[in-house]
Amino acid sequence: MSKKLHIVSEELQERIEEYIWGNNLQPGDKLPSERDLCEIFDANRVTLREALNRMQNEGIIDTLHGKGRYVAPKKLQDNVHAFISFSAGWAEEQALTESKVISFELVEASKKVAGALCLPTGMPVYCLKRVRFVNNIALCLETAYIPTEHCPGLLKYDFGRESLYDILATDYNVHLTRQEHVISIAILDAEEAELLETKAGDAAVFIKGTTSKDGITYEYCESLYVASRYSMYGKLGPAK
Amino acid sequence: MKVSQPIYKQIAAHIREQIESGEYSFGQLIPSEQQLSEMYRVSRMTLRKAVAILVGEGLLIPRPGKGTFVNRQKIDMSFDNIQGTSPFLLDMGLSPSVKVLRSGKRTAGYKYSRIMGISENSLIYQLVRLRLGDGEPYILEYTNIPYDLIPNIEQYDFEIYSLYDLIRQQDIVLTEDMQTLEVVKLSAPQSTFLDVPEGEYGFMTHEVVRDQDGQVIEYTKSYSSGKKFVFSAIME
Repeated sequence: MSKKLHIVSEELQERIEEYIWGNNLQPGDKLPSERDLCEIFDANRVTLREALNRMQNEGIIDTLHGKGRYVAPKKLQDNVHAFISFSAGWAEEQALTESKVISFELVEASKKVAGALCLPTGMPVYCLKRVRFVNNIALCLETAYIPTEHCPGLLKYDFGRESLYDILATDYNVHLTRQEHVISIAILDAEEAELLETKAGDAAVFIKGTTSKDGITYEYCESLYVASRYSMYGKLGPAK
Repeated sequence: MKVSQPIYKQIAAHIREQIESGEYSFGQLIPSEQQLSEMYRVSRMTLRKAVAILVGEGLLIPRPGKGTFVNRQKIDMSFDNIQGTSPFLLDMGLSPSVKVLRSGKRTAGYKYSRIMGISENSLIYQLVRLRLGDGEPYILEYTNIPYDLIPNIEQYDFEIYSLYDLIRQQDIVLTEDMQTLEVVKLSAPQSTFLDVPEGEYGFMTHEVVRDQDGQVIEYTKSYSSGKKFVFSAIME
Protein backbone atom coordinates (compact mmCIF):
# COMPACT_ATOMS: atom_id res chain seq x y z
CA MET A 1 0.00 0.00 0.00
CA SER A 2 1.18 3.46 -0.83
CA LYS A 3 2.34 6.00 1.72
CA LYS A 4 -0.39 8.38 0.53
CA LEU A 5 -3.06 5.81 1.30
CA HIS A 6 -1.73 5.32 4.83
CA ILE A 7 -1.83 9.04 5.55
CA VAL A 8 -5.38 9.19 4.22
CA SER A 9 -6.40 6.18 6.33
CA GLU A 10 -4.85 7.71 9.45
CA GLU A 11 -6.77 10.93 8.83
CA LEU A 12 -9.89 8.89 8.27
CA GLN A 13 -9.35 7.08 11.59
CA GLU A 14 -9.17 10.47 13.32
CA ARG A 15 -12.47 11.48 11.70
CA ILE A 16 -14.18 8.22 12.69
CA GLU A 17 -12.97 8.71 16.27
CA GLU A 18 -14.38 12.24 16.16
CA TYR A 19 -17.65 10.82 14.83
CA ILE A 20 -17.82 8.42 17.81
CA TRP A 21 -17.11 11.22 20.31
CA GLY A 22 -19.20 13.87 18.54
CA ASN A 23 -22.25 11.61 18.37
CA ASN A 24 -21.63 10.45 21.93
CA LEU A 25 -21.61 6.78 20.88
CA GLN A 26 -21.18 4.52 23.89
CA PRO A 27 -19.56 1.08 24.21
CA GLY A 28 -21.83 -1.43 22.48
CA ASP A 29 -23.33 1.17 20.13
CA LYS A 30 -23.25 0.23 16.48
CA LEU A 31 -21.26 2.14 13.88
CA PRO A 32 -22.84 2.96 10.52
CA SER A 33 -22.30 0.34 7.79
CA GLU A 34 -19.17 0.41 5.60
CA ARG A 35 -21.22 1.82 2.76
CA ASP A 36 -22.61 4.61 4.93
CA LEU A 37 -19.22 5.40 6.42
CA CYS A 38 -17.76 5.70 2.90
CA GLU A 39 -20.50 8.19 2.08
CA ILE A 40 -20.23 10.18 5.32
CA PHE A 41 -16.49 10.63 4.95
CA ASP A 42 -16.26 10.56 1.16
CA ALA A 43 -13.76 7.69 1.43
CA ASN A 44 -13.14 4.57 -0.62
CA ARG A 45 -13.56 1.06 0.78
CA VAL A 46 -9.86 0.13 0.80
CA THR A 47 -8.94 3.18 2.87
CA LEU A 48 -11.94 2.73 5.14
CA ARG A 49 -11.12 -0.92 5.81
CA GLU A 50 -7.53 -0.09 6.64
CA ALA A 51 -8.71 2.53 9.13
CA LEU A 52 -11.34 0.21 10.67
CA ASN A 53 -8.89 -2.69 10.86
CA ARG A 54 -6.42 -0.53 12.75
CA MET A 55 -9.15 0.72 15.10
CA GLN A 56 -10.09 -2.88 15.80
CA ASN A 57 -6.45 -3.84 16.46
CA GLU A 58 -6.14 -0.91 18.86
CA GLY A 59 -9.29 -1.91 20.74
CA ILE A 60 -11.41 1.11 19.77
CA ILE A 61 -14.04 -0.93 17.95
CA ASP A 62 -15.16 -4.57 17.85
CA THR A 63 -16.29 -6.42 14.74
CA LEU A 64 -18.98 -9.05 15.00
CA HIS A 65 -18.99 -11.06 11.81
CA GLY A 66 -22.17 -10.65 9.83
CA LYS A 67 -23.45 -8.08 12.31
CA GLY A 68 -21.30 -5.03 11.95
CA ARG A 69 -18.94 -2.90 13.96
CA TYR A 70 -19.49 -1.65 17.48
CA VAL A 71 -17.79 0.75 19.85
CA ALA A 72 -15.59 -1.47 22.05
CA PRO A 73 -15.98 -1.54 25.83
CA LYS A 74 -13.63 0.88 27.57
CA LYS A 75 -10.50 -0.73 28.93
CA LEU A 76 -10.13 -0.80 32.70
CA GLN A 77 -7.61 1.87 33.64
CA ASP A 78 -5.10 0.85 36.26
CA ASN A 79 -3.14 3.51 38.07
CA VAL A 80 0.49 2.48 38.38
CA HIS A 81 2.02 5.30 40.34
CA ALA A 82 1.03 4.32 43.85
CA PHE A 83 1.51 1.04 45.68
CA ILE A 84 -1.86 -0.23 46.78
CA SER A 85 -3.57 -3.64 46.92
CA PHE A 86 -5.65 -4.90 44.00
CA SER A 87 -9.00 -4.46 45.76
CA ALA A 88 -8.13 -1.09 47.33
CA GLY A 89 -6.82 0.24 44.00
CA TRP A 90 -9.99 -0.59 42.11
CA ALA A 91 -12.19 0.55 45.00
CA GLU A 92 -10.70 4.03 44.48
CA GLU A 93 -12.07 3.86 40.95
CA GLN A 94 -15.49 2.85 42.33
CA ALA A 95 -15.04 -0.58 40.77
CA LEU A 96 -16.24 -3.82 42.31
CA THR A 97 -13.63 -6.56 42.68
CA GLU A 98 -13.90 -10.28 43.24
CA SER A 99 -11.34 -13.04 43.39
CA LYS A 100 -11.58 -16.73 42.64
CA VAL A 101 -8.91 -19.00 44.10
CA ILE A 102 -7.77 -21.52 41.48
CA SER A 103 -5.21 -23.16 43.75
CA PHE A 104 -3.38 -22.42 46.98
CA GLU A 105 -0.67 -24.82 48.00
CA LEU A 106 2.98 -25.31 48.92
CA VAL A 107 5.33 -25.77 45.98
CA GLU A 108 9.10 -26.04 45.57
CA ALA A 109 10.58 -22.72 44.49
CA SER A 110 11.90 -22.93 40.93
CA LYS A 111 15.19 -21.22 40.13
CA LYS A 112 13.29 -18.13 38.93
CA VAL A 113 10.98 -17.90 41.98
CA ALA A 114 13.82 -18.62 44.37
CA GLY A 115 15.97 -15.97 42.71
CA ALA A 116 13.23 -13.34 43.02
CA LEU A 117 12.61 -14.20 46.69
CA CYS A 118 16.32 -14.61 47.55
CA LEU A 119 15.82 -18.22 48.70
CA PRO A 120 17.66 -21.42 47.80
CA THR A 121 16.10 -23.27 44.86
CA GLY A 122 13.69 -26.01 45.96
CA MET A 123 12.60 -24.31 49.20
CA PRO A 124 8.88 -24.66 49.90
CA VAL A 125 6.91 -21.49 49.14
CA TYR A 126 3.20 -20.73 49.13
CA CYS A 127 1.75 -20.53 45.64
CA LEU A 128 -1.56 -18.68 45.40
CA LYS A 129 -3.24 -18.64 42.02
CA ARG A 130 -6.27 -16.39 41.63
CA VAL A 131 -8.45 -14.96 38.89
CA ARG A 132 -9.30 -11.34 39.60
CA PHE A 133 -12.59 -9.85 38.45
CA VAL A 134 -13.38 -6.16 38.17
CA ASN A 135 -17.04 -5.23 37.68
CA ASN A 136 -17.68 -8.92 36.89
CA ILE A 137 -15.12 -8.94 34.08
CA ALA A 138 -12.27 -11.46 34.31
CA LEU A 139 -9.27 -9.14 34.23
CA CYS A 140 -6.23 -11.01 35.43
CA LEU A 141 -4.76 -14.35 36.39
CA GLU A 142 -2.33 -13.85 39.21
CA THR A 143 0.18 -16.33 40.63
CA ALA A 144 1.76 -15.15 43.85
CA TYR A 145 4.70 -16.88 45.58
CA ILE A 146 5.25 -16.14 49.26
CA PRO A 147 8.09 -17.50 51.41
CA THR A 148 6.82 -19.61 54.31
CA GLU A 149 9.22 -18.29 56.95
CA HIS A 150 7.44 -14.95 57.50
CA CYS A 151 3.92 -16.28 57.61
CA PRO A 152 3.37 -19.78 58.98
CA GLY A 153 -0.18 -21.08 58.67
CA LEU A 154 -1.12 -18.92 55.71
CA LEU A 155 -2.93 -21.82 54.03
CA LYS A 156 -5.85 -21.50 56.44
CA TYR A 157 -7.01 -18.21 54.93
CA ASP A 158 -9.57 -17.88 52.17
CA PHE A 159 -8.02 -15.48 49.69
CA GLY A 160 -11.16 -15.56 47.61
CA ARG A 161 -12.49 -13.21 50.27
CA GLU A 162 -9.50 -11.74 52.05
CA SER A 163 -6.83 -9.44 50.68
CA LEU A 164 -3.37 -11.02 50.89
CA TYR A 165 -1.71 -7.69 51.77
CA ASP A 166 -4.32 -7.02 54.49
CA ILE A 167 -3.73 -10.43 56.11
CA LEU A 168 0.05 -9.99 55.93
CA ALA A 169 -0.37 -6.62 57.66
CA THR A 170 -2.96 -7.52 60.30
CA ASP A 171 -2.05 -11.12 61.19
CA TYR A 172 1.70 -11.22 60.42
CA ASN A 173 2.69 -7.60 61.01
CA VAL A 174 4.22 -7.40 57.52
CA HIS A 175 3.41 -3.96 56.11
CA LEU A 176 4.57 -3.98 52.51
CA THR A 177 5.65 -0.64 51.07
CA ARG A 178 7.27 -1.12 47.70
CA GLN A 179 6.46 -2.88 44.47
CA GLU A 180 8.61 -3.25 41.37
CA HIS A 181 6.99 -4.26 38.10
CA VAL A 182 8.39 -5.36 34.79
CA ILE A 183 5.78 -5.28 32.06
CA SER A 184 5.96 -7.38 28.90
CA ILE A 185 3.60 -9.14 26.49
CA ALA A 186 2.51 -12.79 26.67
CA ILE A 187 0.17 -14.91 24.59
CA LEU A 188 -2.51 -16.81 26.54
CA ASP A 189 -2.58 -20.59 26.22
CA ALA A 190 -5.83 -22.60 26.28
CA GLU A 191 -5.90 -23.09 30.05
CA GLU A 192 -5.14 -19.46 30.90
CA ALA A 193 -7.63 -18.24 28.32
CA GLU A 194 -10.39 -20.42 29.76
CA LEU A 195 -9.81 -19.09 33.29
CA LEU A 196 -9.83 -15.54 31.93
CA GLU A 197 -12.96 -16.12 29.83
CA THR A 198 -11.27 -15.26 26.55
CA LYS A 199 -9.66 -17.03 23.56
CA ALA A 200 -6.35 -18.88 23.44
CA GLY A 201 -3.86 -16.84 21.42
CA ASP A 202 -5.15 -13.52 22.76
CA ALA A 203 -2.52 -11.22 24.16
CA ALA A 204 -1.94 -10.47 27.81
CA VAL A 205 -0.08 -7.72 29.58
CA PHE A 206 2.37 -9.83 31.56
CA ILE A 207 3.56 -8.26 34.80
CA LYS A 208 6.32 -9.70 36.95
CA GLY A 209 6.37 -8.03 40.30
CA THR A 210 8.21 -8.17 43.59
CA THR A 211 6.74 -6.70 46.75
CA SER A 212 9.04 -5.70 49.55
CA LYS A 213 9.68 -3.78 52.69
CA ASP A 214 13.07 -2.50 53.87
CA GLY A 215 14.81 -4.42 51.13
CA ILE A 216 13.25 -7.77 52.05
CA THR A 217 11.08 -9.37 49.38
CA TYR A 218 7.90 -10.94 50.72
CA GLU A 219 6.18 -11.78 47.46
CA TYR A 220 6.98 -12.57 43.84
CA CYS A 221 3.98 -12.36 41.59
CA GLU A 222 3.27 -13.06 37.92
CA SER A 223 0.06 -11.57 36.53
CA LEU A 224 -1.56 -11.98 33.13
CA TYR A 225 -3.99 -9.16 32.34
CA VAL A 226 -6.24 -9.62 29.30
CA ALA A 227 -4.79 -6.97 26.97
CA SER A 228 -8.11 -6.03 25.37
CA ARG A 229 -9.56 -5.21 28.81
CA TYR A 230 -6.65 -3.42 30.41
CA SER A 231 -4.63 -0.25 30.20
CA MET A 232 -2.16 1.25 32.66
CA TYR A 233 -1.61 4.89 33.37
CA GLY A 234 0.84 6.78 35.45
CA LYS A 235 1.90 10.29 36.18
CA LEU A 236 5.56 10.84 35.47
CA GLY A 237 7.63 13.49 37.14
CA PRO A 238 10.39 15.65 35.68
CA ALA A 239 13.57 13.92 34.55
CA LYS A 240 16.04 13.44 37.36
CA MET B 1 4.12 -30.69 46.51
CA LYS B 2 3.41 -30.98 42.84
CA VAL B 3 4.57 -29.68 39.53
CA SER B 4 1.58 -28.75 37.47
CA GLN B 5 2.97 -27.17 34.30
CA PRO B 6 2.95 -29.02 30.98
CA ILE B 7 6.39 -30.26 29.95
CA TYR B 8 6.88 -27.83 27.02
CA LYS B 9 6.27 -24.90 29.39
CA GLN B 10 8.81 -26.29 31.84
CA ILE B 11 11.37 -26.57 29.06
CA ALA B 12 10.60 -23.01 27.90
CA ALA B 13 10.98 -21.83 31.50
CA HIS B 14 14.31 -23.64 31.80
CA ILE B 15 15.73 -22.14 28.60
CA ARG B 16 14.33 -18.73 29.61
CA GLU B 17 16.19 -18.95 32.92
CA GLN B 18 19.41 -19.77 31.08
CA ILE B 19 18.95 -16.70 28.86
CA GLU B 20 18.03 -14.43 31.75
CA SER B 21 20.95 -15.61 33.86
CA GLY B 22 23.35 -15.08 30.95
CA GLU B 23 24.30 -18.74 30.45
CA TYR B 24 23.13 -18.21 26.89
CA SER B 25 24.11 -14.73 25.77
CA PHE B 26 23.12 -12.36 22.96
CA GLY B 27 23.92 -13.65 19.51
CA GLN B 28 24.67 -17.17 20.71
CA LEU B 29 23.41 -20.14 18.73
CA ILE B 30 21.42 -22.47 20.99
CA PRO B 31 21.79 -26.26 20.52
CA SER B 32 19.87 -27.74 17.57
CA GLU B 33 16.34 -29.08 17.87
CA GLN B 34 17.69 -32.60 17.85
CA GLN B 35 20.30 -31.93 20.53
CA LEU B 36 17.76 -30.17 22.74
CA SER B 37 15.13 -32.88 22.36
CA GLU B 38 17.75 -35.46 23.39
CA MET B 39 18.87 -33.29 26.29
CA TYR B 40 15.35 -32.87 27.65
CA ARG B 41 14.25 -36.37 26.56
CA VAL B 42 11.17 -35.15 24.75
CA SER B 43 9.85 -35.42 21.21
CA ARG B 44 10.89 -32.81 18.67
CA MET B 45 7.25 -31.73 18.54
CA THR B 46 7.27 -30.87 22.27
CA LEU B 47 10.63 -29.15 21.92
CA ARG B 48 9.34 -27.07 19.02
CA LYS B 49 6.41 -25.90 21.16
CA ALA B 50 8.84 -24.75 23.86
CA VAL B 51 11.07 -22.90 21.38
CA ALA B 52 8.00 -21.30 19.72
CA ILE B 53 7.01 -19.74 23.07
CA LEU B 54 10.45 -18.14 23.43
CA VAL B 55 10.48 -16.95 19.81
CA GLY B 56 7.05 -15.41 20.47
CA GLU B 57 8.44 -13.61 23.52
CA GLY B 58 11.30 -12.24 21.48
CA LEU B 59 13.96 -14.06 23.50
CA LEU B 60 15.05 -16.28 20.61
CA ILE B 61 15.23 -15.54 16.88
CA PRO B 62 15.09 -18.34 14.31
CA ARG B 63 17.31 -17.86 11.25
CA PRO B 64 16.21 -20.29 8.55
CA GLY B 65 19.00 -22.66 7.56
CA LYS B 66 21.26 -21.41 10.37
CA GLY B 67 19.56 -22.30 13.63
CA THR B 68 18.04 -20.44 16.55
CA PHE B 69 19.87 -17.57 18.19
CA VAL B 70 19.57 -15.67 21.47
CA ASN B 71 18.11 -12.21 20.87
CA ARG B 72 19.40 -8.95 22.28
CA GLN B 73 18.14 -8.13 25.77
CA LYS B 74 14.96 -6.05 25.66
CA ILE B 75 15.17 -2.34 26.32
CA ASP B 76 13.74 -1.37 29.68
CA MET B 77 11.65 1.81 29.40
CA SER B 78 10.99 3.12 32.84
CA PHE B 79 7.56 4.41 33.75
CA ASP B 80 9.23 6.86 36.13
CA ASN B 81 10.25 10.18 34.70
CA ILE B 82 10.01 12.25 31.55
CA GLN B 83 12.92 11.72 29.24
CA GLY B 84 13.32 11.13 25.56
CA THR B 85 13.83 7.71 24.06
CA SER B 86 17.47 8.13 23.09
CA PRO B 87 18.89 7.56 26.62
CA PHE B 88 17.30 4.10 26.69
CA LEU B 89 18.87 3.18 23.36
CA LEU B 90 22.24 4.55 24.45
CA ASP B 91 22.05 2.56 27.69
CA MET B 92 21.79 -0.59 25.60
CA GLY B 93 24.87 0.36 23.63
CA LEU B 94 22.84 1.17 20.53
CA SER B 95 23.61 4.22 18.48
CA PRO B 96 20.36 6.23 18.25
CA SER B 97 19.15 8.03 15.15
CA VAL B 98 15.86 9.51 13.95
CA LYS B 99 14.05 9.35 10.64
CA VAL B 100 11.36 11.98 10.11
CA LEU B 101 8.52 10.33 8.21
CA ARG B 102 6.46 13.46 7.93
CA SER B 103 5.98 16.82 9.55
CA GLY B 104 3.88 19.92 9.11
CA LYS B 105 1.33 22.27 10.59
CA ARG B 106 -2.43 21.87 10.59
CA THR B 107 -5.44 23.08 12.55
CA ALA B 108 -6.05 21.15 15.75
CA GLY B 109 -9.59 20.03 14.91
CA TYR B 110 -11.95 18.24 17.26
CA LYS B 111 -9.73 15.42 18.55
CA TYR B 112 -6.49 17.31 19.22
CA SER B 113 -8.25 20.41 20.57
CA ARG B 114 -9.79 18.26 23.29
CA ILE B 115 -6.64 16.36 24.15
CA MET B 116 -4.47 19.47 24.19
CA GLY B 117 -6.96 21.90 25.74
CA ILE B 118 -6.82 24.41 22.86
CA SER B 119 -9.41 25.72 20.40
CA GLU B 120 -10.27 23.72 17.30
CA ASN B 121 -8.85 26.51 15.13
CA SER B 122 -5.46 26.62 16.86
CA LEU B 123 -2.52 25.53 14.80
CA ILE B 124 -0.55 22.48 15.84
CA TYR B 125 2.66 21.00 14.47
CA GLN B 126 2.72 17.28 13.80
CA LEU B 127 5.90 15.30 13.67
CA VAL B 128 6.07 11.59 12.84
CA ARG B 129 9.42 10.15 13.82
CA LEU B 130 10.87 6.69 13.61
CA ARG B 131 13.55 6.11 16.21
CA LEU B 132 16.31 3.73 15.27
CA GLY B 133 19.07 2.02 17.18
CA ASP B 134 22.06 0.90 15.09
CA GLY B 135 19.86 1.57 12.05
CA GLU B 136 17.09 -0.81 13.17
CA PRO B 137 13.59 0.57 13.88
CA TYR B 138 12.63 0.68 17.58
CA ILE B 139 9.83 3.19 18.19
CA LEU B 140 7.38 5.06 16.00
CA GLU B 141 6.21 8.36 17.51
CA TYR B 142 3.37 10.64 16.44
CA THR B 143 4.03 13.93 18.19
CA ASN B 144 1.75 16.97 18.31
CA ILE B 145 2.79 20.31 19.78
CA PRO B 146 1.24 23.78 19.67
CA TYR B 147 2.55 25.41 16.47
CA ASP B 148 3.74 28.55 18.22
CA LEU B 149 5.68 26.66 20.92
CA ILE B 150 8.93 26.93 19.00
CA PRO B 151 9.38 29.93 16.68
CA ASN B 152 10.12 29.00 13.05
CA ILE B 153 9.77 25.33 13.83
CA GLU B 154 9.91 24.44 10.12
CA GLN B 155 13.57 25.39 9.95
CA TYR B 156 14.66 22.58 12.26
CA ASP B 157 15.66 19.20 10.95
CA PHE B 158 14.39 16.76 13.59
CA GLU B 159 16.77 14.10 12.37
CA ILE B 160 19.45 16.31 13.97
CA TYR B 161 17.69 18.44 16.59
CA SER B 162 16.02 17.01 19.68
CA LEU B 163 12.53 18.38 20.27
CA TYR B 164 13.08 18.38 24.04
CA ASP B 165 16.29 20.42 23.67
CA LEU B 166 14.41 23.02 21.58
CA ILE B 167 11.57 23.13 24.11
CA ARG B 168 14.01 23.68 26.97
CA GLN B 169 15.65 26.53 25.04
CA GLN B 170 12.28 28.30 25.23
CA ASP B 171 12.55 28.29 29.03
CA ILE B 172 9.72 25.81 29.21
CA VAL B 173 9.95 23.24 31.99
CA LEU B 174 8.48 19.83 31.32
CA THR B 175 6.59 19.39 34.55
CA GLU B 176 4.07 16.60 34.31
CA ASP B 177 3.48 13.72 32.03
CA MET B 178 0.42 11.46 32.00
CA GLN B 179 1.27 8.28 30.23
CA THR B 180 -0.98 5.37 29.34
CA LEU B 181 0.31 2.00 28.22
CA GLU B 182 -1.66 -0.63 26.31
CA VAL B 183 -0.89 -3.81 24.44
CA VAL B 184 -2.37 -3.75 20.93
CA LYS B 185 -2.05 -5.57 17.61
CA LEU B 186 0.21 -3.60 15.32
CA SER B 187 -1.27 -2.85 11.92
CA ALA B 188 -0.14 -1.11 8.75
CA PRO B 189 1.43 1.36 8.42
CA GLN B 190 2.92 1.13 11.95
CA SER B 191 3.92 -2.53 11.55
CA THR B 192 5.60 -1.72 8.23
CA PHE B 193 7.69 1.11 9.69
CA LEU B 194 8.63 -1.03 12.71
CA ASP B 195 9.49 -3.92 10.39
CA VAL B 196 7.29 -6.47 12.19
CA PRO B 197 4.57 -8.69 10.72
CA GLU B 198 1.12 -7.11 10.61
CA GLY B 199 -0.95 -8.42 13.56
CA GLU B 200 2.02 -8.86 15.89
CA TYR B 201 1.43 -7.54 19.39
CA GLY B 202 3.20 -4.42 20.54
CA PHE B 203 2.99 -1.56 23.00
CA MET B 204 1.00 1.61 22.33
CA THR B 205 1.51 4.58 24.62
CA HIS B 206 -0.16 7.96 24.90
CA GLU B 207 1.69 10.77 26.60
CA VAL B 208 0.40 14.19 27.54
CA VAL B 209 3.20 16.48 28.74
CA ARG B 210 2.46 19.75 30.54
CA ASP B 211 4.60 22.76 31.37
CA GLN B 212 4.89 24.62 34.68
CA ASP B 213 1.55 26.41 34.02
CA GLY B 214 -0.34 23.19 33.34
CA GLN B 215 -0.55 23.90 29.60
CA VAL B 216 -0.25 20.86 27.32
CA ILE B 217 2.92 21.26 25.31
CA GLU B 218 3.10 17.83 23.78
CA TYR B 219 0.83 14.93 22.96
CA THR B 220 2.58 11.85 21.63
CA LYS B 221 1.26 8.47 20.62
CA SER B 222 3.92 5.80 20.19
CA TYR B 223 4.15 2.25 18.94
CA SER B 224 6.87 -0.30 19.69
CA SER B 225 7.40 -4.02 19.33
CA GLY B 226 6.90 -6.25 22.37
CA LYS B 227 9.94 -8.20 21.20
CA LYS B 228 12.22 -5.21 21.73
CA PHE B 229 10.88 -3.54 24.87
CA VAL B 230 9.71 -4.05 28.41
CA PHE B 231 8.38 -1.29 30.65
CA SER B 232 9.14 -1.05 34.33
CA ALA B 233 7.48 0.75 37.18
CA ILE B 234 8.29 1.21 40.84
CA MET B 235 5.43 1.94 43.22
CA GLU B 236 5.85 3.12 46.77
